[in-house]
Amino acid sequence: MQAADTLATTAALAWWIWPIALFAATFALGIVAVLSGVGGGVLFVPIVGSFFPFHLDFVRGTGLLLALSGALSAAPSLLNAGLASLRLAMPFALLGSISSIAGALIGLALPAAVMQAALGATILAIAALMWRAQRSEYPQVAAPDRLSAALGLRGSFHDPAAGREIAWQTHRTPAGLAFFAGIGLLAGMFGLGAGWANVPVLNLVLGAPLKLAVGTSGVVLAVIDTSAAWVYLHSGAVLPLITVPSIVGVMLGAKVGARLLRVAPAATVRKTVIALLLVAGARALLKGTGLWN
Amino acid sequence: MELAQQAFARWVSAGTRIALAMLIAGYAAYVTGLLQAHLPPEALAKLWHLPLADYLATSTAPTGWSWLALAHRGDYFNYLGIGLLCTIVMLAYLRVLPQLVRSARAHALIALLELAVLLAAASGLLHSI
Repeated sequence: MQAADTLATTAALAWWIWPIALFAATFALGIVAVLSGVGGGVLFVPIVGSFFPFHLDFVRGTGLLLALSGALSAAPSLLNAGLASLRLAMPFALLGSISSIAGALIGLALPAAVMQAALGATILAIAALMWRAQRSEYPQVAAPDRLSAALGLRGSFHDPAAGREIAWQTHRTPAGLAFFAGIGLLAGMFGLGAGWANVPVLNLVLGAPLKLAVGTSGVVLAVIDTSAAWVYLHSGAVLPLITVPSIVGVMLGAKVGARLLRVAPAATVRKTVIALLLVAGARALLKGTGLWN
Repeated sequence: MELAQQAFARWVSAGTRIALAMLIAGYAAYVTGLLQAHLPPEALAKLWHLPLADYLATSTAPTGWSWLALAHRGDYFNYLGIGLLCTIVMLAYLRVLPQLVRSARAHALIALLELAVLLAAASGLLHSI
């Protein structure tokens, strides 16, 4: 009865209120995403899926395209500056893109309540991961593994903050490939983007320097999300009325966020994002289990 | 490999700019009614709470590549920009493939496999599995 009342209320509002509200919300998400260092998709799907009238199938399709457009916009400057490595990104993106297609197909086949509950549980796990996450500026890699050596996963980049050239190489490539297969599955299934998981795996598992891991994560994400986005697009789960204002809102917000980066208290913003994820994750979980519609 | 990385970046940059311009122009044409929509926004607002299968059954929205036949309609005109957004990585991989063949054979093979995966996803055959 409560769900029916909610639907009646939202249906009574003029249609144009929702794209405008979505633009405002995604603009704010874009700012927060840059300041906290997480991708827009991981915030967009649980928040919009829980508090807007759109079905989760359409929210996930938009979430993927949102993460994709953000990654595509950021990738060129990072690649040109050497802060992202195509050489490093390609092998892991291949595994991730295959599993993201599987994830998208599974996500579109499962009942909405199961997806909502699984999304809630995943978001709560991401919030916990963010809370406890450790990062290593320049991980020590004594020697590359065989696969890493064969693929030539090494290089160097100029770190402006350190004022010197940083040489890097990676190890534990098979473990990294397994992690990226899992990341792709989750990204395709929930439309979350994957920056929240890419960076820790590139940095802590493979041993890439943190700045290179952050930059390369965007390139990997662009490839992973492209393959899953096609599945959503062909399934009819992309509604331009929802998708376009979300993409534009997040991208404009990200530009403002980048300007605020120097003055914003990063630790406070990060704690706010974790709190937002906890609320949105709990809401999705309760919605999925039928406890709060 | 460094030259390939720069070429990849140039193509991604150009493609993204074009796609975003198409999205904004297409959306303006859609919501202002400049291009007649297959499903007008006010009608869509009554269906967007439905699960995908119910929405498709009610709206007669196209799946696969059938939307191309409706690309002159406001809502599906936006799919051109969205489709380009989803094609940029493929185009960039195609662009750098010859360079990779010359300088990084293993990565050239990875690029070929990636193109096969992306083409399979873009073909529209997978969504009906």
